[in-house]
Amino acid sequence: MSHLLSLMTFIPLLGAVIILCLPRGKHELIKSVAACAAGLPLFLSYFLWKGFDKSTPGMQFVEQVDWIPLFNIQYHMAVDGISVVMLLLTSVISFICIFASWEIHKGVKGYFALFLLLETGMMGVFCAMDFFLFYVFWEIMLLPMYFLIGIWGGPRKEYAAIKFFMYTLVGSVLMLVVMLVFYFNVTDPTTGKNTFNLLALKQQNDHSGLLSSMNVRYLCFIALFIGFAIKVPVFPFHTWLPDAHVEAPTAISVVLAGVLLKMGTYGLFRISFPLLPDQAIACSVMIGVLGAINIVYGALCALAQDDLKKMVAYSSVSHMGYCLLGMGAMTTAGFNGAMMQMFTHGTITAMLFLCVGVIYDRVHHRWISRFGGLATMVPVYTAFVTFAFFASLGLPGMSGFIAEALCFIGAWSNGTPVFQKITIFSTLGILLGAAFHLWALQRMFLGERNKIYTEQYHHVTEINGREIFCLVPLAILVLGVGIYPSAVLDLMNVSLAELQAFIQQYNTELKP
Amino acid sequence: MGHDHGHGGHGHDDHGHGSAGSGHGHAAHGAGHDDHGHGGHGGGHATHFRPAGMSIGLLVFLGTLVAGGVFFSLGHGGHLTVGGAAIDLNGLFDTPWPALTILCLPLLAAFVQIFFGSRLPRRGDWVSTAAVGAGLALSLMMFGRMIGIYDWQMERTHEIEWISLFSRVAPGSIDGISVRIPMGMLIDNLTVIMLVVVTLVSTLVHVFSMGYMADDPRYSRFFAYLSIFTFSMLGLILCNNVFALYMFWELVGLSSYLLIGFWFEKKSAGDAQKKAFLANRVGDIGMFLGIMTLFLMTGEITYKGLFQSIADGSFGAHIGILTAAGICLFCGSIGKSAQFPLHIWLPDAMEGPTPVSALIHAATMVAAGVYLVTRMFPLFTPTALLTIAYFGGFTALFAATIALCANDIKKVLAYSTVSQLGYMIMGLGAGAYMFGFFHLWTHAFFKACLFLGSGSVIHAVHTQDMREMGGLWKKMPITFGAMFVSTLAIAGVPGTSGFASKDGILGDLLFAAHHQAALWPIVIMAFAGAGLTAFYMFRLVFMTFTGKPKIQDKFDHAHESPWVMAAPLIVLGGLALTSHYAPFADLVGPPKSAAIEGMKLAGVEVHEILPHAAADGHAAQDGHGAETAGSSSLALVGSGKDAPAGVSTRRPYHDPLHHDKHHSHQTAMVFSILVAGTGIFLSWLTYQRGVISAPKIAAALPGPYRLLVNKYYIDEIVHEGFVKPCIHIARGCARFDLKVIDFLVNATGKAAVAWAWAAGLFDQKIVDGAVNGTADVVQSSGAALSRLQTGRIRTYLAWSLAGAFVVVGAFHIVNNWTQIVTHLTKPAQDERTK
Repeated sequence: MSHLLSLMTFIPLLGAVIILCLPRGKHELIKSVAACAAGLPLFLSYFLWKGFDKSTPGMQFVEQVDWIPLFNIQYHMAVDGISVVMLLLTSVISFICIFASWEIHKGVKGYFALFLLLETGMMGVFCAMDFFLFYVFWEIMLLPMYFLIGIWGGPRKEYAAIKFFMYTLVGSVLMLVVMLVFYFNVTDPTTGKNTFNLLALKQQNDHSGLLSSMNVRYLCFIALFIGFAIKVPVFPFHTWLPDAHVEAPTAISVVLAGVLLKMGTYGLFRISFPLLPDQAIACSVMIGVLGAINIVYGALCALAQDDLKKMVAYSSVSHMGYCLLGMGAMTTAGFNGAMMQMFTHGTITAMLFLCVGVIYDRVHHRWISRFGGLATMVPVYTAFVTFAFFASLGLPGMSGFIAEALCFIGAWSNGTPVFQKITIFSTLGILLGAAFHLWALQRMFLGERNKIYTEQYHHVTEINGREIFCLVPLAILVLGVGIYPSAVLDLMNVSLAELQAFIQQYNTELKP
Repeated sequence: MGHDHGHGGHGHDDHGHGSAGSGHGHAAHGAGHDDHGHGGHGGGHATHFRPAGMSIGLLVFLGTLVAGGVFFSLGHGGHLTVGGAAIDLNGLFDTPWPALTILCLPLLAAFVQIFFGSRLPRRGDWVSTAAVGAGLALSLMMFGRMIGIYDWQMERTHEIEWISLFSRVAPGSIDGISVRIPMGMLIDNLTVIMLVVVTLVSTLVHVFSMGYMADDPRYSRFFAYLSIFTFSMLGLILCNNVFALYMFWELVGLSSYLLIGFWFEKKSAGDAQKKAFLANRVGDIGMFLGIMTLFLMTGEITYKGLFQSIADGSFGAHIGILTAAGICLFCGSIGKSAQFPLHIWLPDAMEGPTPVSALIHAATMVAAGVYLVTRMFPLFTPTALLTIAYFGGFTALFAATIALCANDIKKVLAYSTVSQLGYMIMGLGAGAYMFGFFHLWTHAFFKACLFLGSGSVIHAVHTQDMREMGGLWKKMPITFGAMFVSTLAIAGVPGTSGFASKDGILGDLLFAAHHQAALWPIVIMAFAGAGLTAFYMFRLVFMTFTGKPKIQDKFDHAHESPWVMAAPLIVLGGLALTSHYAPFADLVGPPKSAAIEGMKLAGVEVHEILPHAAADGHAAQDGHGAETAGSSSLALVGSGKDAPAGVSTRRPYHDPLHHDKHHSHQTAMVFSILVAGTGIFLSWLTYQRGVISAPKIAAALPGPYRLLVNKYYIDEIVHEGFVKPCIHIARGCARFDLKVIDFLVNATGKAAVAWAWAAGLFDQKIVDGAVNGTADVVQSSGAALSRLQTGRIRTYLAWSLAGAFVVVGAFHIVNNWTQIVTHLTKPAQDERTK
């Protein structure tokens, strides 16, 4: 199937169009169409997974046609080991999110149409190998997200939505600038034209003009980094995240934390590192330090939260720090750990947000301190939350542990004293992560029922079949990957090894 | 109960004649020192002159021994004949399946219990029990097989690839492996011994729990958790690399967490489980750093690979790093084995059901730290070992003092566990490799017995406060008997298992102190701790079982526990008296690695008394040992390391330093009997005769008394010094996030909005005046979204594009400026173009 990637990307868009043509009141029909439109890419992703050749770092499933010949912009879709993992994650999370959104009653048509448009954007970002195309998908993703938070969100939805939008837009602008710098200063030797092709932009020998200057390269890297850092989010650009999560409906939180945050780290892997490897090496310590700050600061903030969703949001900040730590290390173990963390955080945090949604749907608040003793009332729900919490705190046997361990091993084997200090500091995150999860677990589920807020317990009912249906596949993924991590690692291993070797060429301090 | 002791010396019996189908063949029971005590020595002569209860007890014990002996001797024989076909039992070690079966059965049982437990007959307790019971049978066969082989160097590895990460030296080059983490099992003497400990205690605790937990609404959940624990613990001892060790290390932590908080309705249980997990995590961080350091320095992750790499001198001049890595690894033990200062979680962990305390927090999981030190022994440098010894010695004494003033029966036992674990670790640190591990073995049985006994008492009187008990021996003779012999063992009364192992540690410690002066303070701590142990354990027995009942009502309702609870007590009580007959010294030997050679290469002064294997894998052949012990002591026949685990290569270990140590051991024995006797005597005077008044002593020494009752205020120190500041910092971070970072973000946002508004005004008034009215309508209609979105976003998009072009222009200027500057200062030397 040579058009596999296009199909996976545009079937959701087609679904969105169909939904827009459907009558307003037919909720079940709309939801079914949405499920099909998200289910087909999931089905196709099986062929992607099967057909993907793990042994080569090269691009596969390539589709390359001219799109805007005037500017040499191409419709260039392809995957390598880095994208394929993200693509699989996206198709799973999106499909689950359709079912997590089943209880949406307000503006059903718009909601699902926007959601599918969002999926198209996400898929496209992970497939695009043309910088311009990447940018277009990046922007496509932005708008539906804005509306999904802004219309279907909580009480402060406008504030959260505009904050999200503005923040991300700043990042987009920075990316746009760098894109133009690259476009005007790199000529593809085969065609003799300026190019947006990421694979061509990677050829350092073709960099000329502005890009010959170290200062410009440095500024470009920083601009790109800020653009992606906002998305990750990296301290101090992270404050949009808790607000967006708190206000967003459950499924949107899931997709936001599960997939959208990975856009940032994916962008670093796909664009920053290959295009500016020398600057990546130069900034590696900065990335590592920011990672460590994310890990510890995020965990500390999570510890202080009383809003369960905000706690989970800050735990995302902390977990994405592991990605940065692994990436900053510039070692294969670190890169693999970072990619693994991207995948695994996608599944675990999705579980966490789904679990938060379950209790919020019933009692309409999320204050940890107002709960207590839920375990006796809703044992199955408690079991799922406990599972998700332990996965999130990095219990061995679940995928989170493998990712964290590889990030640490990667950072530690960087070998420089500064990275060892960073790693030791970051290990605090293991402790703090356990602390806030277990503390929340205790306050909400264990002990006796809350004596002040007794009214809420009338509304607490056991987790229902639909919710279990959403959680179980994720739980299986978390356990499965935790027990046999090579299933995921093997997909990306070679591509990351190639990327790491490519970057290390520009490491001037490399010992012979 | 003293009569049991009389049977102690049955050692020279051959074991398990009665076993059907065991073709002993050429298994050669010849060796005279072959005195492992699982034989079926006749029960008949013991029964006819004892009271009925006792004889039933004895029958239970003997029956269990016979059943165990059957499996044991099945393994020992080496061949199993089933329907005429002979099965070679060397396959117990040569194939991974037996060990995998032991490992996976509890996991399977856990799944069955979780999903179907409550629907099964008897709520599924038999599923878990059968799973671990089958594991016990297989483990005993392996144990028998190991003794049949009688080779301390026996080891088998079965491993598969699990994670292997490629790396490339240059783009497009061939993949090399940068990180390789296998999953595998290492089966050797340590593993097999641990298998027996874990499956045996676990089986007995499962049986005990059938009675103890019978009325619990979450009965099947309890068994599921027990199964999860058993699986994790078995994984911990079977795995062959430090990474897997760490994984199972955390998994036993999970099961400990789940079981401590089994009665989670109590806030104290919730606090205790959280505390346990977090205290362990603190240690685990150190352990993980240690593992990473070892991996970074050697590139190896398996035990054998690590040791070999160290022996080959991979640390070179950086031997300090090896010391640091060793101490980091030991941090894991500090957490798991509850050593000072992370011991605080273990007493609180007594919130869990008592069978859990017996299994996890006394016999097996907390001993994992000791197992870790034993397993990793070759890579600890002398400095690291000394550090370990100090931690252990201090903990041994420190915890014993706290136990003096505790009144909760389980808390006394908890502190006693901390103290005994300290002994083991101290022993290992001082180089008593075999005896430290031996104490793990003996302690597992008598401490499990004590905990189960306390559970039986709690079950009967429904209180844990010893001040409310008294005189219970009449009501519960079996519990009393089992606990009494276990107390004898832990106090170190000669003839008991505890005496054999503790005296061994003390002897080796004394011997080592003669060669290493830095160990003398530890010797003093150790003997003081031994005396205190005898004192507080007999205090427990006297307060609980003898004297007059303190609360008549509770006494009247007390009763002996049902058989399902009493039988495990009997078996464990019997083992408290007999478990030291296992041929430990011959089979454990020194560590099987010569990593110490690498330390010597690096110039570390390694004293020859440190137990170690020489470079060829044999025992240390220092002249010291050779001249005193004679050539026979090193009779390690052949180099048949690669030969199959056949019965022909019998290589029991003989300590070359045996004769040197003899004197120290004698001295230690005299002193340890002395201090134990003193402790018991004082305890008797105080709590039995009432000659010495404990309250008066407490009143005379209010300061120390308060210190002990409050456990040296360690909990308070940790809470005020670490927990509270951490929460304060966390709150500070959250406030900073909201008040500073978010404020800046919002301020920037507002500035941008103001700018956009100004631009919008310009747009509105000058350019687009015509649609002014429309915009007003939209605004006033309250459709906040459209107000926020359409108008402004389009403006922003326009601005962002414009901004982009401005910035690109700025880049040009910057670039030109740079070029101008470089032109002016020196000839154009651009880094990119050269």
